[in-house]
Amino acid sequence: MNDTPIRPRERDALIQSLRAGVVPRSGQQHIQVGRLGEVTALMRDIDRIADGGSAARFIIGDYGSGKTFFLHLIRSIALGKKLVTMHADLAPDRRLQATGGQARGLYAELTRNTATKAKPDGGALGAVVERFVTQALTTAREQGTSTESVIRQRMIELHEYVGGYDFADVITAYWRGHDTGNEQLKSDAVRWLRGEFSTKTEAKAALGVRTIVEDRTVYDQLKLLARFVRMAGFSGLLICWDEMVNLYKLTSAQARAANYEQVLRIVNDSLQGSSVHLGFLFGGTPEFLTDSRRGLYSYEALQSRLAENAFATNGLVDHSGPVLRLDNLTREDFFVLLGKLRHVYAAGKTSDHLVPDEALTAFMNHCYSQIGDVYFRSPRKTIMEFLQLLAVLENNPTADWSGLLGGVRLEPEVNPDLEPLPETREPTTTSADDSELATFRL
Amino acid sequence: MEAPPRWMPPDEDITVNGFVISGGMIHTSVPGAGLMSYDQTSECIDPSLPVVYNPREFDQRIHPPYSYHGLSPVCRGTYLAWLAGGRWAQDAQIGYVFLYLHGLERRAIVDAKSSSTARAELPLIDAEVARLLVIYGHDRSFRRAAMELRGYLATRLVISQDVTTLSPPDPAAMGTYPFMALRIALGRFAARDHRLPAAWVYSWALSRPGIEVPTALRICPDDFRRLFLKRLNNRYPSGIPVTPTRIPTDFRYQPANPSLAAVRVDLGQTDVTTDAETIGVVTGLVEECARDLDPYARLISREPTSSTTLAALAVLPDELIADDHPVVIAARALVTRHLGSDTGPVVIDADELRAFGAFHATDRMSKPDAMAVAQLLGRFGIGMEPDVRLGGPTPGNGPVVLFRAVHPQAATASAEYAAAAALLHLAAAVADADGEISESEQAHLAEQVVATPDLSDGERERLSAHVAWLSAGNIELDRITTRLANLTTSARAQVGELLVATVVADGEIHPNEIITLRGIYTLLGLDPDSLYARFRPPSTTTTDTDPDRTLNLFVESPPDLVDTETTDDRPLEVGGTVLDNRAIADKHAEATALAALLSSVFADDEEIPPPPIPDIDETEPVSGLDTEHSAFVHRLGERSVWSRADMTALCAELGLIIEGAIDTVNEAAIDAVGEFLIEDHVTSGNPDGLQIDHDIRKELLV
Repeated sequence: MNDTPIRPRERDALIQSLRAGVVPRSGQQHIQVGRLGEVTALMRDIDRIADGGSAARFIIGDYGSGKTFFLHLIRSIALGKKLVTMHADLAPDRRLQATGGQARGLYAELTRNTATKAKPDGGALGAVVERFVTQALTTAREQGTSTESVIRQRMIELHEYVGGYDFADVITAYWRGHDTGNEQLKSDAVRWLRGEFSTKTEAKAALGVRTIVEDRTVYDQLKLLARFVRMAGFSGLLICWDEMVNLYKLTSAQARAANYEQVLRIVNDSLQGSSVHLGFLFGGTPEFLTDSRRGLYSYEALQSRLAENAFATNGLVDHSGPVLRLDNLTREDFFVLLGKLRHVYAAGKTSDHLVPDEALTAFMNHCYSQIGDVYFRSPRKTIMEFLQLLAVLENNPTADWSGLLGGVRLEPEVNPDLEPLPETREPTTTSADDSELATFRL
Repeated sequence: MEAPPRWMPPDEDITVNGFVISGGMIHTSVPGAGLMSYDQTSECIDPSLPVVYNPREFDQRIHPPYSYHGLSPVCRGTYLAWLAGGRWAQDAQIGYVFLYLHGLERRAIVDAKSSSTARAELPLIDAEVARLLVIYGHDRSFRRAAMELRGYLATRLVISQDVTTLSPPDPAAMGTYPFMALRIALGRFAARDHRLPAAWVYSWALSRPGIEVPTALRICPDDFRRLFLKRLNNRYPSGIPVTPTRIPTDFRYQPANPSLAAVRVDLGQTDVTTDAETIGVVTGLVEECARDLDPYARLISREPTSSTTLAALAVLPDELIADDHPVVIAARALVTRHLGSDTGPVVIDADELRAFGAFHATDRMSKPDAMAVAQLLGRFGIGMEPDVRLGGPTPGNGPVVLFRAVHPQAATASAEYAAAAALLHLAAAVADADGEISESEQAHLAEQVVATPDLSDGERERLSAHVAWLSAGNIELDRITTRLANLTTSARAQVGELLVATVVADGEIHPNEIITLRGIYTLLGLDPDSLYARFRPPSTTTTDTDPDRTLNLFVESPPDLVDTETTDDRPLEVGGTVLDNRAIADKHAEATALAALLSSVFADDEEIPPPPIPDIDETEPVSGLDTEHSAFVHRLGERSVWSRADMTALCAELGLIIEGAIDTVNEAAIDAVGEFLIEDHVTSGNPDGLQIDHDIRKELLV
């Protein structure tokens, strides 16, 4: 293990996320194990997007297999290659296609999570717009003309897209707001771009535009944004949608079909190359893909496009198709992962490792005795416990790791997607008091 | 039974080995028969151990695991001296502070289990830990341990006390307050009367894990809080109703004191923080407040001293404007005096707008002043013409028109409005060619306003006021004629074409409109007779003399200004009627082009100037950056921390825009050095400042 120091901020953020059981937003490279083939395939996709092409990939894996982690890893690679990325989890109020504002809700979430290389944690939409406007400002200076006319001229490129005129007007309004010190106008322009206007009347009054980002125009808006980020000097746009299983869970067959139709449109555009500088990653569980009653396979046109290579079985893989299956981690992967976690905890200094190698295997044995293979197949809880153990050792340098192992308690995680809907709640008036305090020794 | 360590209460003085320690808050313990071992009392002071006082050895390092008995006699002397000295010496070894913290932890965890006196001291212990954090918080491991202890204390307090007697935590200080404690408190309120008090909801709303802190909250926290609470109290006067759910939760705490065991608190708790409906209400309100305060926050961020200016008042949300604010009183008086309950329009002297307060320039209203006045009047449902936000000139010393807005008013000009206003202005210029606009001419202009297609009712209302303003003598015919003459022949021809296209956009043309068009053609120096070649002859049943009849038109395709090919031909539907996407795009393009062409004719200033060339000294180009961004990197070296306002000003000086500039130079820094050059509030943890990493800057410059 090399001794390249890990920045304290990056280390703290990584540890904090992992201890809380959530996927870190950055620094994934420090703890990535395996998946070389998959990463290589997606790096090729990113290069294609940067070259003006398109991509649509379905990242399929069991609950806990690391889909979300993988999506964020790919996202950080895309940022490194100067793409703009946007990501969002699908949810009951966030869908690809809807009539009650849920698609706009998904779009709004995407815009909140807009990231650039220099702003990887999101909230970069304003920076993208300002980079475009700054370029126009420079051009206007060079040409001795007004900035607004340069913006309008450059925006003609977008007119061929659905909603392109209004998009251009909104960017112009942003500039005008900046130029005249009209903060209201600037704020409204950002609101429009984020899909936060819910009525056309309101948008017309605020910005003089006829349209808003609405449920049925979300995909068109993303295509516009893909062109726009290019104009602002970035390589392209990568959209990551996670928790696609929420579409599978929709009870209305009609709503499911409408959403799958939207997926089909995206896949078709991507396969036919009609979207440019734009890529999509969809993260979902196997049932979301292959269930013939409710999954993507229930939509015939998608089944034929997403069918996996029949020869890719028994350890053979094909990473060229639109579906990319993530296998669960192996024991060996997990051992390497624990080593990496220990190294991150020590901020990249081998001499500061808190436990020796035998502690890693002992920890694995202990976990196995408690929950069996699950400990490495869906390792979220196991990672949390391991980091807790390291935290205790850090605060108590004289404590013996082997004595602490007994305190590690694990229970198998339940896939919430398979859980029944919550029952009707009943009010309760009981509350805890001092007598419920209990202590235990790790 | 073992005798526990003895606690010295906060109000007692104690003498240990000659040191007089005021304020207690330490344990003493002497191991021996029937007493606890050193392993169980590591931090407790054993007065039987030897102590040597030697100030020259104060900086002798001590190492973990920290224990009193494990210290050398000299270090014991140093520890006792630190305690006796008030426990605040800046240069104390952090190990001594840890020892002391371990004792406070023992009091909070072990003693408080069996002693009500110890439980009553919990707030005092929390305050003491907070005090230590201020002095020694710079040490990362101490900070972490102290914060975790504060988290435990807060949780204990919530569990053991009547929740109604507690104050909600300040969201700004949530870094030191555990979410679990807040969650328990909310659960208790819910279990008590199925309602959540506003102040606690506010703390919850802004401390939910993963929440993105709104910009407005960061920049103007007090205003944000006031707005949130006002809105919440208006909507839920007796608190948000909730249906609590019983969710088993537990809380684990690992003490920093190695003598103490881990603690787990089982809470058969009532929880509301996972209730989707309540979360929806709370997050919705946060987003709403963030959105409505955003323009004000942006202004304050740009000009921190502007919070009491007219411009700030103009963009503050309604709830935050006091009814008795002098500007509000002045605005009401002005409106009552001139409009009463009428809708207007009414012509007043621009000088009267001075009632709103002192303007930037003393002789004349500036553009920002005019914008603020228009925004503020808009808050009272009053429109003003001219309005700089809609492309109008800044009111000089002449007349201004006020009108009561019956329909919603736009805050910016749509392309269609800008084109219609330009056309109207030309038409008024034609009518004014004889020196005045007669009543019949005014009526004619008013008709034209009504007949203009593609405008909202609010825009028509404003155009009528615009006619009133033009009629009040605001047409500078000479200036318009001169400026039109400055347009190239082809530009004037294009204006003519676009005017025809705009006038006939509704598919019909009134004979009066042809008269107007002829006049404008003459003004433009175009042949008025050429207009007729563009229209199909009227049908046999129509006569030119009947003004109520309209002509059927045949209009040539408008000039091919832009490629309006759409890649998606899905139809738009309005009320069951399918709209033609291409036609909409064409109309929009025409209106935009016309407004752009005429902008130089009606512009307030001589012309819209290109942006000024920034005054940048010769600087070495920086790692692939252009001149402006390179100069930006050089100038950033002037300070270590920049306020957003100052950096905005620097960017303006260099012809840059702040967010774009930060993104650009940080990207260059990552490419070249692998680190950010400018750290914002998220990455630096400094809510107000943008921090410059000078090491990175130096590497970047190399």
